[in-house]
Amino acid sequence: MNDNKPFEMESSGIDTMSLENDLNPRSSDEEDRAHLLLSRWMDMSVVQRRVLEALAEEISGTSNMVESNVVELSEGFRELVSSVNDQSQRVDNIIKLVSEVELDGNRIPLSDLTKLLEDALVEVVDHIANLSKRAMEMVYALDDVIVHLEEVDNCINGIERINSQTNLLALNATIEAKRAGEAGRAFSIVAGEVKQLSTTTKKLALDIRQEVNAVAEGVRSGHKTLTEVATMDLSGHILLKERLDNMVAALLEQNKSFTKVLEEASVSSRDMSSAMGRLITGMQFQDRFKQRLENVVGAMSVLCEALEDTEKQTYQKSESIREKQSQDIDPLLIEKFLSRMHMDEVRRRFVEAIVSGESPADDLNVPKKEAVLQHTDKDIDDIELF
Amino acid sequence: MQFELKSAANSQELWLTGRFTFTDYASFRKLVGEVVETRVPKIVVDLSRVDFMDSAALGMLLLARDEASRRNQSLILRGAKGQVKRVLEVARFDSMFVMEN
Repeated sequence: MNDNKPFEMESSGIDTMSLENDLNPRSSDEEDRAHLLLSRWMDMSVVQRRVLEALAEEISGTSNMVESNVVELSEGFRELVSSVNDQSQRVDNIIKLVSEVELDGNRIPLSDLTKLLEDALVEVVDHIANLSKRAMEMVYALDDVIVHLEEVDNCINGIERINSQTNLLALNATIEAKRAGEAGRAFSIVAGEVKQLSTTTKKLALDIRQEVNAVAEGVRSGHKTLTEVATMDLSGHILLKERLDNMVAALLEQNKSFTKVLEEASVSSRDMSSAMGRLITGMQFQDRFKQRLENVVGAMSVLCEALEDTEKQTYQKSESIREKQSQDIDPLLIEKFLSRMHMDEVRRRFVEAIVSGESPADDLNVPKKEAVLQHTDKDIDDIELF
Repeated sequence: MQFELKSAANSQELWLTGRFTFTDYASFRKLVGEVVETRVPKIVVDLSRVDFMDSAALGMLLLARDEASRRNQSLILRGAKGQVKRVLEVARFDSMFVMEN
């Protein structure tokens, strides 16, 4: 209301102007100058209004652009979070997989597998020891058989010795029987029988010797084969268990390191996921920024409306002001504005808005997506400039 | 392989030197037989000077143990080292014999 007062005083002055003009020529001159100044103020008001409108548009446009970029960014981060979560799920699966093996359709932890392997190897080693024991037992037994066979051989020798004495005895008996003549005839028959027995015994002893020799031959051959088996040293195979134990221990150790690295990867994934979650939450503050800018734009609109009102009231009071107004905006002022604006598109929109008095709203509301894409394709570093 | 028999108060000690393999079975068996016949309660097989043992030797030790236990004698393996110690350990002889260092 206070601002309107000078206008009222001024207008009352205008009403009395014709009277005072004649009385005081200086007063008319002063009034002209006041009119001129007022018309400049009016020009300035128009410029202010258009500039305010243009700036409000620029702010709203920028806010919308930021909003749409933030929405895209949030969406991108959400996808990233989901990918990272998938990834950590996979890593967890790998951790489970590397600590187990599938055996006969069952999932067995590696630690249990080493137990199974240990048991199997212990059994093998026990078998080797037992086999060596049995082989040696056989060797001992066959040794004993060979000793017994030698004794049998000695017995046959004894039989042969006795037999040859019997044979000699029979021969002597035959001679003595002949010498006795008729009286020795019966004795001669007995001597003949004894000789016959001796011959049979000799043949029998020979047969036994042949059989025993065959048995001895078989036993020696068996002994030889057994010796070959027993001399096959399996101590190296026993020590193979030691090597396998070491290998399994090394494998378990490696698996442990592997699992540790994977667990670290899993933890990193989760950290990444929660960091991105915080980023998304952070970006939700964009809404607050937008509201603040809307408040600023709202205040600017009120200012524009007030300026427009004042302009209208002034025109109503004095038509001559409108005539005196230079409809064009001072190019020097535009130049000054432009000297403070570095972006071509902002300059273009600004000039269009203040020269025509209409804002190229549709141009601003759509973010320059192509330009954004070109920028990101070209060089990430350029984004800051953008 | 060389063998040496040492008598102590209530034990007989069989000292072995060199490589203990199948080729030594006859003399080892004979010596074990002699020691067992003495009926001492404790038989010690000293392996501290044995640097190699094959699987046949393991079999011979197991048979000697059977022989001794039939007469209620205990058979002790003493001083095994290197390959001999490792083979005895892997074959779990410590669960079948009294082992001494």
